[in-house]
Amino acid sequence: MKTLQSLINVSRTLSNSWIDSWKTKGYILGYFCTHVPEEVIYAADILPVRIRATGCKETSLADAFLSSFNCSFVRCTLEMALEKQYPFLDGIISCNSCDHIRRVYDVWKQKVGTPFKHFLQVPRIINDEAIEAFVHEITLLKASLEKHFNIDISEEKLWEAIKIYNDVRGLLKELYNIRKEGSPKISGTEFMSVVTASTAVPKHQLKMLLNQLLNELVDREGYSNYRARLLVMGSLLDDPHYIEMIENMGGLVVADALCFGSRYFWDPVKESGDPIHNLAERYLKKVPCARMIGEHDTRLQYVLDTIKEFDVEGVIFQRMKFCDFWGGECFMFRRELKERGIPFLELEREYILSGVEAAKTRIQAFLESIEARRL
Amino acid sequence: MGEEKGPAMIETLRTIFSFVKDNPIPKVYHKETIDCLFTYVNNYFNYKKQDKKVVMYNFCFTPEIFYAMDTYPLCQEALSVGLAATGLAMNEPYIDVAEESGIPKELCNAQKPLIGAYLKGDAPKPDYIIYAAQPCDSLNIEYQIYENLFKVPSFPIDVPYWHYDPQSEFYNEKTLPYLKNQLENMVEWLEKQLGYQLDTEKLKKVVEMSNEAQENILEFNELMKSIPCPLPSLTPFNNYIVELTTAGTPECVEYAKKMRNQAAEKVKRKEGVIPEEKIRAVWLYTHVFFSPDLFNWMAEKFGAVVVMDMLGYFITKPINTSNTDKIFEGLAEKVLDMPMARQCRGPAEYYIDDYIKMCKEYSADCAIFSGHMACKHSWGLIKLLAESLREEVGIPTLTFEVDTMDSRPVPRGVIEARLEQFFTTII
Repeated sequence: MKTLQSLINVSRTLSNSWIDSWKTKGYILGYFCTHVPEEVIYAADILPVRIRATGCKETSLADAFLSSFNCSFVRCTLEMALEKQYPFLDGIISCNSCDHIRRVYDVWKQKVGTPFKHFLQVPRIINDEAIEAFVHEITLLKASLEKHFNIDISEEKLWEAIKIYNDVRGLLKELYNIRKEGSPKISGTEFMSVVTASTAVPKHQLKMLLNQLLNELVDREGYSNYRARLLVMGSLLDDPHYIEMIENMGGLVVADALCFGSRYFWDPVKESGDPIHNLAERYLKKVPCARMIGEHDTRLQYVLDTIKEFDVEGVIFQRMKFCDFWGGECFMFRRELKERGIPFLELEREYILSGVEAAKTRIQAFLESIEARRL
Repeated sequence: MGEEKGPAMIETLRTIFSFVKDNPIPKVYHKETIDCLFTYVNNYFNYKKQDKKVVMYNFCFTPEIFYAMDTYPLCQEALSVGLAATGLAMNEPYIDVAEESGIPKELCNAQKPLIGAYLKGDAPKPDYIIYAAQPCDSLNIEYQIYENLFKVPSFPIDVPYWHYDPQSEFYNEKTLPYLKNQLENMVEWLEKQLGYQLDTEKLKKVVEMSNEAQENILEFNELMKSIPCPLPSLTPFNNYIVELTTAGTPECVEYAKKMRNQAAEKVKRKEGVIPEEKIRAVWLYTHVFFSPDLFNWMAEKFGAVVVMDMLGYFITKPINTSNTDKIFEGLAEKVLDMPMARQCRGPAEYYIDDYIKMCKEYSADCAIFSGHMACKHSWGLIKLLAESLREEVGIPTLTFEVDTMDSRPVPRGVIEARLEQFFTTII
């Protein structure tokens, strides 16, 4: 499992050998949210890396600018930025994902000396006008990259980036689907590590690594000694240790609805027509984050379909404190899943893993309640 | 009253407004505001009697189209703010019910009471929900929870992040057409729901009335720059709540004229609202709604007057009514510039620049940020704002946390202590 281990290692650090190697010849941009169309950046021969705050221990510097009412993810990322923990970044791209993310961008812009900064307005509804408005925004992003880095992002390069990203999406989906099996050959912790690593490795290399990983898994014995098959959903979660905590209690996370999980790679970009239009369409129509308004039913249906396909026995909804969107979604999901007789556990959390013992107690009780249903 | 009872939440408001109308408490509630709000709430029952439809909308939207379409515009936050402003902790039981049912504490209590009221069977049920997705995430998700609970047809409006003004560094040419188009789609959607069409002549008349009120409010806001400040600290907010609920009606025009005239007369006489104005404060956020006489206490104890606040700071120019297209464009601008939405929906600069301007124009000695706990977007920039006010205007900012709708997390006594320390230091 050499490839798996190397991807797990990538997920546990901010930088990695691929980033180091890229940095010797090219630029790297950090982005905050899965609504940022990475392909445009990659087509500029710039490496897009999703911003995480892996390794953050406290937020004393960030707290001088943000408040205790801001979520711990943005406080941690700002902390890392102020501590100069992202030396590889030549710029950042943010968007109006949520109130926390737009404000961390405002502070970052003023207080962190990152050379390139761009903000993308992502519509929150899905219709033709919204797609057109997003086409305009992506065009502005493209122009902004071209101007700042003195490059030309050709249509050919865009298609090339779309193609490689789709290939990677397809491979991640193949890996994800392995978890439908009764004895999945990859655990939830390992899978989340792979997806997290995928946001920090150039896609050409990643494609190769994922192919290797799929080959390595063929002869691997599956996980069969588990107490319940679980789906994890909710707020941004980029810490595989969190999933590990659940799996150490005997649950096996076989599916998710997370933006560092299936929602990252689920929908491909169309490979014919106008590339920017296709990107706009994909990044708006993909399995929606709770920021997309009027899309709750789509999110619910996605989760219900996944529960069926992956034989899920219980749903763990983790929500980061002060995350309004997922907090509200949690209220709706609890009612709707309970109406359907699907066991549901809500866990509040902070970005830095804490309150582990209390969470473990609740997970233990949840697993027992699922087991009791089988009797 | 012998009238048909409505859902408890709105019935309570009608009873309270009716009581205060007949038994004025002039130092706390302005007669003109109460008269207007009583008519507004009472009209809910009148419209219902006539089988007219109720459209629920949020506080970062404007009601002219709903009046023009002969529907009752039920501004949801007028309910929660109205209940809070009684000072009788009337939202709190609803907040508790909502939280006990699983609504997170950190979601905004301007929207949460309706969820609790729904679960208790006390909420008015709208026929349609229309909401502009601003100024915050909490509002956006709570309106989706309304949709989910009430199960009535809904129309969300995606308000752009960028500016519509070509002079702004954040200008984006798509902003205005994108929003205008959505307003047009909203009318088309509502026409289908209602089974009849918008009468554009009626819309023109409604918007003309709204313009007349707006002109008076703009003049009023100019007059509030006078030293000493002519009218009580709560007046700009009162203007806001009246505009928010009744813009486009004769009552609103009448109200705005009275306020403008009262201010003008006092400015002419160089008469201030308090005998000796010692501190002119700009209130950087929403009021402490559950404590409507807080400003009186500030005035009496410290000679402190709030000369302008976030919600009273209307800046929209009257709408060009020469044709329907222009009207929709003007309404789109108005939605983008609704107080609080204007400052909070985009980059921090929208907020900071407005307050630098406001503090300078209103000759503020200090600024006060009563940060509503649920407003993560504002808490995310207050330190940048305080820094800018210190550096560019040379004034100090008091920052304290409060739940403006719920008197329990930070009670009045704690707020008084913070204000006292601040005023004592700066006097």
